[in-house]
Amino acid sequence: MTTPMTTPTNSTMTSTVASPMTSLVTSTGSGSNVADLVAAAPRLLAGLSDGQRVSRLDLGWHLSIHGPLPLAGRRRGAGTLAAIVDQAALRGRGGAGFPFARKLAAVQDGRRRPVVVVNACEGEPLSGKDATLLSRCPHLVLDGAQAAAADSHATTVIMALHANRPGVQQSVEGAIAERSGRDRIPTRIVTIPEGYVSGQASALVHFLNGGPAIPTTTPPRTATKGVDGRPTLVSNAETYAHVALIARHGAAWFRSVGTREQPGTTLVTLSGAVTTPGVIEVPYGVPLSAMMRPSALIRGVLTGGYAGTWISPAAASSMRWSDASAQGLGASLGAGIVMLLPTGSCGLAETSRIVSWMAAQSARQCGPCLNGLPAIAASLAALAAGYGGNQAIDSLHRWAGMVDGRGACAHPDGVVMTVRSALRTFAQDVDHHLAGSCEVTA
Amino acid sequence: MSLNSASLGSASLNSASLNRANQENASMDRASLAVDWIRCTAHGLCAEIAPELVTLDDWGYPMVAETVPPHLEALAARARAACPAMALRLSST
Repeated sequence: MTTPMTTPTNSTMTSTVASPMTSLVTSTGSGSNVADLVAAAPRLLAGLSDGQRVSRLDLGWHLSIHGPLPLAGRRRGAGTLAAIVDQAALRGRGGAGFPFARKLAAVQDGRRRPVVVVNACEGEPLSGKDATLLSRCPHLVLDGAQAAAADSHATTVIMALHANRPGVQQSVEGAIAERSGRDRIPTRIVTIPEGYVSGQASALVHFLNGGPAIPTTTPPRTATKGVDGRPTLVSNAETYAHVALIARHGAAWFRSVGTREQPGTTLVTLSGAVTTPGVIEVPYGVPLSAMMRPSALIRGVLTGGYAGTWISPAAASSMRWSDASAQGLGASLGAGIVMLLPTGSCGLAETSRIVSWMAAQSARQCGPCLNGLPAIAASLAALAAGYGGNQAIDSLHRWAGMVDGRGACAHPDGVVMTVRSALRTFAQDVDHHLAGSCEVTA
Repeated sequence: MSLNSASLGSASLNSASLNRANQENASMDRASLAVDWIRCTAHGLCAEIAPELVTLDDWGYPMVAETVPPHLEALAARARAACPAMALRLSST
């Protein structure tokens, strides 16, 4: 499935119309830049982003940098894994930010032995963090899954990957082979059909149970009843990587960076008009302006992904990478995505491409999503092309309200967030387009 | 929140949290109707039987009131029973 390219429509960056949009200013008050930030806080990416510049940590490198994974309950003075991750207040890194300890407790609450699933599907087109982890330090993710499995007395450990990622799959297969004989329950790879919603937790479990990779109605949640009807722990690959480090170094260590409400580090994928596209590791709370340097004048910033939020350059320059800061600006962090839109691109056109793609990704099970997303996409396309008129705006608002929250999964909700934030952030462009012109293509 | 069909069609349906409240949370005092979106195929009987509780969106799918007042609980039960797809859930506390 091809995804829209987020490249400027006009590569010669001429601002012929005076735009009030200010550039995303890189704050250099403390002299920090991207390289310093990454070098100062490598935890997941230790050994990969600092002086050594190793491209992939095989088992030997992994053990020499991180040490061995402690057996459950054996850590000096520590309790079970469940207790430690609870103290660490680790939240999931797949976008929902659910407290991992609560999920682990739910899975351990049943009578049947659980299944552990590592969700490495990463269907979000703007995300590359899980692919990076699995390509470069797969043993951290595998360690975390093993730790969760041991703590939960699980019977099965599954790594779910999308089918068309040969590099990632090869890396994971190699890592599993290296661990042969060491893991109590060897990790089994299962490849999942390509698709944005197939990585949703219930869709994943649906596929693992022999059905199509589309969401099912919840409750019951997968933690209660999942693969083979067993309690199933479905968490993002990065979450398990953090578990692997927390099991080694403890909750206090984990909380020593980040914010009090959001401790620890997290991975962010940078794309668009940045000088250093790719995946970085940052502590929560870091200013956006310290995470990246724009490579052009910026028109807007998309945070959180295709199901995310557009914010203005001014808002982005005041934003910190935390839920608290994001919520105050009407933004979302998603699964760690920041995409900078240069002034040579039209925000409405970009959003139109995103929404059209997302509409096509619908599982087509639920009426409001199946009908509403294409209708929204069509109105947005009309608006982006300059022939929408006020009716297109009214339709967008009406249908956004009609699809929001009305489906078996949050796919329509995500599209609504993207559309509403686009209309808000690119309000000036909306006015231009209603008058039949565009600042960018004029 | 007024439950007549005029008001259901407009401003009250503009937030995911409001809509999702229907799905997942029964209110402390009241029954609530929720739609199983995968089962629902827009037969529309619920809106026919209980227009006080259900109106239809632009594509024929039900928009249900957040909570069911006590005097309409019997009506909600009839709507639930009538659905050919068994797509309505009525939960009460």
